Amino acid sequence: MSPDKLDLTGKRAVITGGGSGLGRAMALGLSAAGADVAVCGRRPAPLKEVAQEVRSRGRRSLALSADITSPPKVNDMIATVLKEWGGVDILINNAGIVREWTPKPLWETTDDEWRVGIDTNLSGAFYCCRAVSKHMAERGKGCIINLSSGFGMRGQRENYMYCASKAGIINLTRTLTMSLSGYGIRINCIAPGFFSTIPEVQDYSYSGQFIPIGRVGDPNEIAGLAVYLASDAAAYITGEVFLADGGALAGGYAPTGSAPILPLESVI
Amino acid sequence: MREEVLSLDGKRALVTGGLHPWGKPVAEALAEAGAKVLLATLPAPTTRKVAGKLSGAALPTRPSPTQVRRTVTRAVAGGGIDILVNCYDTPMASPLLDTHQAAWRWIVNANLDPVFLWCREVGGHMLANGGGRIINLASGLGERGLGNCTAYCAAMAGVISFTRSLGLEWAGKSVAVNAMAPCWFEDTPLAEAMPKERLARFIPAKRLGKIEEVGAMAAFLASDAASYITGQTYFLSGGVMAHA
Repeated sequence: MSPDKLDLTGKRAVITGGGSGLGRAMALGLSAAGADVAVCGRRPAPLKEVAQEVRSRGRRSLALSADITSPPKVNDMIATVLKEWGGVDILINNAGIVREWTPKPLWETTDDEWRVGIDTNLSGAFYCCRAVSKHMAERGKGCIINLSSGFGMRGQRENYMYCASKAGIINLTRTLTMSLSGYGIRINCIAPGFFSTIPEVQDYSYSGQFIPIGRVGDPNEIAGLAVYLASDAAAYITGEVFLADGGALAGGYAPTGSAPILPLESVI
Repeated sequence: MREEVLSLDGKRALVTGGLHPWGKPVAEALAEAGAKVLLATLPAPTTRKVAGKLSGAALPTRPSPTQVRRTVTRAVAGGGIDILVNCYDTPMASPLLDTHQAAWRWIVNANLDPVFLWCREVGGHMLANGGGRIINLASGLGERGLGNCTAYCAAMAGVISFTRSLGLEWAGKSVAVNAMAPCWFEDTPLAEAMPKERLARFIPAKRLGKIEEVGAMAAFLASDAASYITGQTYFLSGGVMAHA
């Protein structure tokens, strides 16, 4: 493969939740690969900082405050990018709620705790896809990357809205593929495992010991996957889920990573 | 659902593989549901004892092509085979670098090859006689990975994939092919080798499975209640398969 297939020069990307964590890392990664990047999120300050960093690499950038749980605001946000840049080539639906969750029994979980997660993680992604879909269909090309999670495939105790919304993202991805492939639009899903994206946490060594590779992921380790999936190198890839989790979901079968030795002679 | 739907009255079930741990509870559950059980399990002496207790027949069989053919011919001559349950399960845990090719071959041969042999031999008879049910014993490790278990995991993944493919091949021909995949069960070698309390804490159901629970699933999958199910692998995991 020639490396220029990974080049994103001239492509225009929108990344929701682009001000921090994985969204920020993907914004910087895509811009390093040549893309112009519009970052969208709730808080303006981190968006401006990321936009500045993208511009410092010689790429165009937009910092757009928008609440993705509101369809009109999502439509306005996409319309702004279309007006400013004339098109959107890449949409990364990254915005999501992870931390606004406190473990508690199901019967104490409020409607709002459920809805806020479903609205942001699942409906928000749907609104963004819908907002760019007509434009991408008319141009006959486009690339959408949805962020799911390892917890979109497995359960986590008392984390209802997160696990359910992230599982929804996976099948939304497949359904979009069935619906939009005929228009030249590719849709894929990145499912990260545990990444060091929580501002309050400095030391991840405790969590790391439960992951086969022995550590949590660095946000920059997602950026490469996003660049690859957004690039022409991935032109035939659509409707798929890509896990990046340090081996976590290869296991989940035992409390230990390996079985105690059980030689053949002992079982025959 | 009417109870008769779960009844295996008048059915003849061939159970193959190891009597321990799975063959015996499977045979007991099928017999309890009304089936006549033909035990092609090993070892031979205990197979005879269990067959006697269940008013079944003992046909202890090594899974070689000739022995399998001979046993199936005898079972068919005695009144046919409606249900086949393959209970082959030989685990091994050894680091890959210490695993000789002979051990690899042994494990694949012990877990996967007999499934092929019995399905081919009994399936031909079922297809010619209007249908039947085949149930293969797989493992949660056919779906999940575990260090030191490369050979066993690969073999059991083979059973799951074989089941899916054969289920499709015979889907329109009234032969249903499914698998049941137990995870951590009492009195099985891999579970015995694990740190007990840690394992029980890890399993969402907070206990290991009981072998008779596998027998119950076999009886269900063999019954008319499961008439639309084919190509599937059903896990008995106490929630482990939901675990991250």
